Amino acid sequence: MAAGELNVAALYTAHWRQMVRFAVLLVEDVATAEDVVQDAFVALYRHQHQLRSIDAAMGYVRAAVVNGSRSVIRKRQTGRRRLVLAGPEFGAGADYEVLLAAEHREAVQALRRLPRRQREVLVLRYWSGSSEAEIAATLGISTGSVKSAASRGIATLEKRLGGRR
Amino acid sequence: MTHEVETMLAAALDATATAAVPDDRRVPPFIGVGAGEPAVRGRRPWASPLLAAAAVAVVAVGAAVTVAAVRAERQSPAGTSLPSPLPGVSSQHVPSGSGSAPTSRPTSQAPSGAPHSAAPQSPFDLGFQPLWPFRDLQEATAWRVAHQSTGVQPWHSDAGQTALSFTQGYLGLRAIDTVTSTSIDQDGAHIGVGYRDPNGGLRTSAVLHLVRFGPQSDAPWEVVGSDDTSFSLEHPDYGSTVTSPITVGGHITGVDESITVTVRQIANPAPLGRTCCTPAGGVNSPWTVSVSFSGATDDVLTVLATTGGHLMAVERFTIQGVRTRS
Repeated sequence: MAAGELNVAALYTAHWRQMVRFAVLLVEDVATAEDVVQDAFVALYRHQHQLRSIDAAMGYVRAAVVNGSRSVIRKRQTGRRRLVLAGPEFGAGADYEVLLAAEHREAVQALRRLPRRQREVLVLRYWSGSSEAEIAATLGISTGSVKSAASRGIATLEKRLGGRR
Repeated sequence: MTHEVETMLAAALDATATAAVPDDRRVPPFIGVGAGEPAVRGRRPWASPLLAAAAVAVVAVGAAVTVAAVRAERQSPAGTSLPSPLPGVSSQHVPSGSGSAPTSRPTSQAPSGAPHSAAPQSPFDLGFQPLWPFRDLQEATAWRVAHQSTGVQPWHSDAGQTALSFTQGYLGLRAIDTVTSTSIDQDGAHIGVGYRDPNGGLRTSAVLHLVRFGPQSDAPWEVVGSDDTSFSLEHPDYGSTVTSPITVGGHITGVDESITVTVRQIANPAPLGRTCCTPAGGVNSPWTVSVSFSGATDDVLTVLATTGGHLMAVERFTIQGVRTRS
């Protein structure tokens, strides 16, 4: 395969912005999101020869971003850093959220209160536009689990957002 | 209602992502690393002062006394014990990148055939922590004398084979079976050890630092530490005196890493202590773990940290030399 022909630097330039946007939806702050994405591309650079095809490269990066984001959140939850994401205790949003309309801010904050898997599935589905199969591959779960997580997540959001209308 | 929430969620996510990373946000440069070559994060804290001291020594009194110039910075290892058996070294791999070709491969035999009385009373001081294969100058000298008369264990003369034997035989990292780089200068030898990935690419797991154990040009090589890479072990300090448990830590760059720490001494084939599978990752992220050990009898211990789990169980490692008594 053509993994040897992979131009990681070019992929990075082309996809950096989208990947950071993806990561920021998982980890909240931009600096951490950039770190996670940089890490993901470094991992791609190192492991490019294992990829089945060039097309698999961005799937690999997407999965690495998810894994990197989980690591960040795990660290935060162990108390080394401020608690930002999951859990009802999470506080104010990031700085850029002041730019958002109230309903968008409310929706994102409700999303952040969801369990990790539901949150990841909904971000992949409604922001990345990934198919269930792609989400399953990225998260390393079955399509059934994707459907179930998406369904529960949306139901919870309906309850939280709908109840306030 | 579901459709309404889905639409709102999609719009909210889009607005959030765009607000966080606007279209005009510049793409920072990609900090890639060479395949098989860990990103250098900097040498160990002890390396710079030692190099500086060595440089001063070269200017002042010439290269012949370079090693002596760093003495003042390091304590002298005890040098009174008799040579004793070393841990098993059963490597059958011939380093691909090493320079000279020894006449036989590393064995598990200790350099114990030489008469102990042959060891000279020398003011030589290694200047570093002697991690492996010799515990002190007497052991090293005993091998040298024996080698001169019988040619025993010539691999001690080869920095690459010594580094590989240390990795496989002493540390027990059998899958790391290749010398990936060799650099020898007045600071000693810096030997990259690693493995070939499934596609034949050469991967460096660590760069080991070796110095000659003795003032002679044919003195055997001794492993004294590792150069920092994208995976470092910085605590406890090099050469510090430790007691159990030790808080071990450093920095790491990587994704989904799993760190295992072991404590070893030459006198025992089995680790004195071990702790497994500490999750880590990120860019130059700190990691720390506590490891308990028991049964230490040697003056010097080797603390080993490994990580991996992507391609191989152990893909990278780093070591630190510490002391059980000052």
